[in-house]
Amino acid sequence: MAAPDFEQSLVGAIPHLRAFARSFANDPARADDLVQETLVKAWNSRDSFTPGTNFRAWLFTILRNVYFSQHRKLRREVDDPDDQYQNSLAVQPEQYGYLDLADFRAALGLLPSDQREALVLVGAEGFSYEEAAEICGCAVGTIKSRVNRARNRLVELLGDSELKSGGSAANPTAHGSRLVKDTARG
Amino acid sequence: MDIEPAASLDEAIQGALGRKLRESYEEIVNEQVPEKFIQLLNELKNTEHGDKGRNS
Repeated sequence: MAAPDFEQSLVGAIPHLRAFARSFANDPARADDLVQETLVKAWNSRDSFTPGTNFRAWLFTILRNVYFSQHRKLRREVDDPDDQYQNSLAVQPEQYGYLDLADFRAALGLLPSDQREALVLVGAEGFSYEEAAEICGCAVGTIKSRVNRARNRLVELLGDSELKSGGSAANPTAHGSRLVKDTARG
Repeated sequence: MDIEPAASLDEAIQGALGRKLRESYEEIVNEQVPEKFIQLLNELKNTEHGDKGRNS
């Protein structure tokens, strides 16, 4: 890809990289650091992108590699990085205007990270199972089963009647406490 | 009959879940991109031009 086209595609992908990064690091500043490093890596290895293939998938693969190489380093310093994700979630919900979206995010944060990633790639980014499998370097069946487990767990956490009625604006407090109870029970 | 657990999730629920997920994700996608990212790309570009300039 010619340099100006590459740059333009890269700029266009930044919002998606930022959103995808949040499925690894819930803290927006940490997620953005991840994106910055991804942009540097992508820029430096732009000759390895095959024109005609999915540019966003290529970038997401780089972001994952950046994350997991940092994650291995981090593991020597903290006991459990997943705990960090959940601790940072505890202070998040009030930033959002409506509680039901915050509740959804809290539930998403409780999923194992590989399930959350698969769900985001397929359900939010709209990648095919095949593309998601390629990004994650695993089998298509693995992605399918992660997505299934993620969906089932979310329904468990959020309650199917709430989901069906499209939200919990009527009684946000009760909804919030139910999420906590369900989590404790689960 | 239902071997896969997801097969028991009814379509209305799956649809609702999908909408919530996209709503949550789109909110981040639609955030304004911080200026630092564009600056970073400009730096990367300039560094490269600088290198080429020195080499030629």
